[in-house]
Amino acid sequence: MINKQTVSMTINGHVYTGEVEPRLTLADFIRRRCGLTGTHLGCEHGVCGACTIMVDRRTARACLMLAVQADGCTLTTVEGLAEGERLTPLQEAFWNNHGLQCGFCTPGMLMCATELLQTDPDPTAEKVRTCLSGNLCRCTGYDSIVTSVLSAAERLRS
Amino acid sequence: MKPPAVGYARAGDVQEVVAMLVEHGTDAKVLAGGQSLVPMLSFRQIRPSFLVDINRVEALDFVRDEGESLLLGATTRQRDVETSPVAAAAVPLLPELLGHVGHVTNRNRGTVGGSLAHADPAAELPTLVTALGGELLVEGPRGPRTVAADDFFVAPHRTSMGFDEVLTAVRLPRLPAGTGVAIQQIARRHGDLAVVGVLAAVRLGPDGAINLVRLAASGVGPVPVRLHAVEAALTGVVPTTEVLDAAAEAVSAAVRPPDDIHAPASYRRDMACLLLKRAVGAALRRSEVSA
Amino acid sequence: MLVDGQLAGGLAQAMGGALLEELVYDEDGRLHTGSFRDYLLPTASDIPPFRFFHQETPAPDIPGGMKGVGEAGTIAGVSLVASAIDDALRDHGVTVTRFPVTPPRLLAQIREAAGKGGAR
Repeated sequence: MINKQTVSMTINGHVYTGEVEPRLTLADFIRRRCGLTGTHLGCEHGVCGACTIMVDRRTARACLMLAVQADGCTLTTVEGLAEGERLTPLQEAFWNNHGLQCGFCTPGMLMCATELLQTDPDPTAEKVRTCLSGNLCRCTGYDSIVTSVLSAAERLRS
Repeated sequence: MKPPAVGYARAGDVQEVVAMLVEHGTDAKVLAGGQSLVPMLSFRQIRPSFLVDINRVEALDFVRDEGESLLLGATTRQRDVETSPVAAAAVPLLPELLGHVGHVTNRNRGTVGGSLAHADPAAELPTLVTALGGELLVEGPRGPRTVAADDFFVAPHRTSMGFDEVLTAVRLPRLPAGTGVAIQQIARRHGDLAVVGVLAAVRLGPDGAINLVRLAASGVGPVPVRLHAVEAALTGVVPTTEVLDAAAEAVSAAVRPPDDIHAPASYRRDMACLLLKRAVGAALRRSEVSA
Repeated sequence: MLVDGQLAGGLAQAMGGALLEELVYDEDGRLHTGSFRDYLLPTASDIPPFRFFHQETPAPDIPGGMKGVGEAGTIAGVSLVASAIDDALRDHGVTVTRFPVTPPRLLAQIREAAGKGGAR
């Protein structure tokens, strides 16, 4: 008999509490229990990067964490990037540069690129590609995503 | 795919980890960064009844310069080691080597101990500790013990640790000043586990002959392989092109690579020979003649 | 922008098919590349930047004069990669006939050509 456990975490500034089985992944907790469906769930085995979120200010794949592990943590999902209606420069750059088509990979791309620009304000295109190489995209061919990140970096520097 | 039903508890210190492993027996698994374990759960490749989460065992999260060696705590995140000046000063290859381990997002969660205990024969940290002849610090109900790298890795994803033991730290010897170290590997894509790799550490004496050499290959057998015979052939010799060609030939006899969907055994063997030359060459370029 | 995006996405798929993506079955008919761990999609590091040049031709016989653009990259891209490899290995007499072109396969082809006494 496996007991449910109570978890509580802060996501995008709001506290979420729930009773969960240990097997419940953090990604499913975020999507199903908290209703934050901006975090997309692709492969469910840590390869596609779509479910990338921030746990205590660093990117993590939400399908590779159990919800019980995030008890007491501070999380940011894609919904937490913008302030109300005001998009971040990175999000605006995706919009302006056609950085998304179907949009499935976009939440993970935004989280990884956000982390990159926090640590490296002036990355080369190659660095951007390396940074995003753990995030699969099937429809843009990546070029417009790289352009978006570089354009956001330029705007953030000025 | 979702993970199967499983019990879970978070340990606060090493004693608690060991107590939980003893209590739950052979069906328990230690959960560290989860970058390999959680996918294996989701694919039902393993079915533990209980997970002992060691992520918050703070006593195991450290990077410590011991003078002669570098001691890395088992729960230290790979990304923290990659960006640690202390780690880079003692083992200068670490930032570059860790750059090959998955992606930044994996390394933010993935731990030093997790990668070693997972014991993938193609993984970078097991290859590093094998090449350097490092030590694994293990703790169990009978107390702590130290295991040499050559005795730690037993088979793919199997170590010599008992079910009731946990890896607490890894000790990486500091190589003498002037030693050049390099890693060369072939992967299908950036961040993928290497198909084959070679790690080389080389130092030259004032006479131009090699006076220190450490070599290990990954992806060429059930465990990372220390290339003792090749090391012996290179020691005391001036590394000319002919010498390196002969050393590469010797690699061929020292490895028994597997066949899989990404590459046949023959390709892995050929590339191990090629990468040996590249890794030794790169290490030589980074070395400085010792007095 | 939309058309270029569709072309770039199609080209990336083509390059995946040319170099990485493969359904591998064993003798029992079991699929061994059933997950993204083994079925390798191209990543941002595998795909080059693109520049597009458009040649516009009218399509008067189609209602509205509309044409599809999305598949152009996918259809041409696979053979484009093969032609580039053939050209690069012209001196070896190697012709690519099987996809994806993996490093072990290409190396085997080069050696086979050399064994047949092809120019080196």
